[in-house]
Amino acid sequence: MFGAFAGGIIVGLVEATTALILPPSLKSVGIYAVYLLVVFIRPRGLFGSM
Amino acid sequence: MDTQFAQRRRRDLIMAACLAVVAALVPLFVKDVYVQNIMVLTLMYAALSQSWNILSGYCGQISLGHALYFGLGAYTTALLFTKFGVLPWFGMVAGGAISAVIAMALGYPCFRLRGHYFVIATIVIAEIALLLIQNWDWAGAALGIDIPVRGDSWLKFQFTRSKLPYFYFALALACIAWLVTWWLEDSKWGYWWRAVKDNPDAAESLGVVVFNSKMGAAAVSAFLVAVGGSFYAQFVSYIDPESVMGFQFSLLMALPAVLGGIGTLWGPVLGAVILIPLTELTRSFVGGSGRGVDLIVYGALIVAISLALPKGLVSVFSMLTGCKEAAR
Repeated sequence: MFGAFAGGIIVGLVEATTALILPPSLKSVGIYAVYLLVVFIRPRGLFGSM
Repeated sequence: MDTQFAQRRRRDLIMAACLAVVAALVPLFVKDVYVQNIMVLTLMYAALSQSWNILSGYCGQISLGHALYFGLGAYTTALLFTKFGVLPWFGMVAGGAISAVIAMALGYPCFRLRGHYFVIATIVIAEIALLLIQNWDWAGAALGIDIPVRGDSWLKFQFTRSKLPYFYFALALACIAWLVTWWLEDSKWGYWWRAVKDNPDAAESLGVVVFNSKMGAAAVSAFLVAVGGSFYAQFVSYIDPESVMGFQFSLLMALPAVLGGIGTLWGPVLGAVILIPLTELTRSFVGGSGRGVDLIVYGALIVAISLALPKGLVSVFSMLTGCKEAAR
């Protein structure tokens, strides 16, 4: 439950910040990259049990 | 048991040869260009879906990002041809090789993931690649690449007057994809893949190197899909990122296999033969925009079939003939 909450906030923040740095057409890349990064480090998600 | 399996494999091979001969004769009687176009697409999707089935059906690693390899194949061929004048035949091999290498490079981190995490990762990677190509000016960005017409020849693999050469190439591609699957099914790799699909932990404990077998499946699958992508680029002679790397291609590769029977030899062929003509027909009969309605038919069909026949359409045949071993 807490995972979905935190995930939602992270996605929102990352999307907004990527749009600042990269051209707007690439703004989804930030979220995708964060997803991959999180899942490669913790294959069951940020708060998933290992 | 063993002899029965060998018998079935021989029967499959004979049946495939007969079907290929029949398919090769069809254009002699069907002269309508529109129908020929549908047949080319059907054969292409049969080949693509068969290749997708290797990784996602046999090895059980459901990928919804195969549009990435399709687009890579298409873009490699088109870029090599337009920028460096390299013949599409070499482009095809190059695209396949690049895709296979990239599939393994992506597989290295991704194959640690399981279930939904893996599926989402494949979608996300394909989307990133799509966005990057859309913003890559040298490769035409969002406008895409127009492949210049240099006259009809097998050497340049361009035919402006007739669709027959494309038809025979697509048929050959479908046959190759089928034969590769047929051959792999009874090879060491085929058994490993099915073991990995059923239970990766048990397979690992019995000495199957799960990671390597997934990598092998990904490489073969990506190579064949990229060759299909190269073919598509030559066939339509104009590509743009959305039209070769869009998410709908990942779905269009997965759906025939899922509809026909995932992880079966005949499933992708059967699924493509039913699904592709059906979508083309709905597209031509229902409305001109055609981007939505055919997908509604897809959805309805998939839901209906997955409810009625969870093992796909091929399970109908094994029910009819009463042989249990066909529905592995």
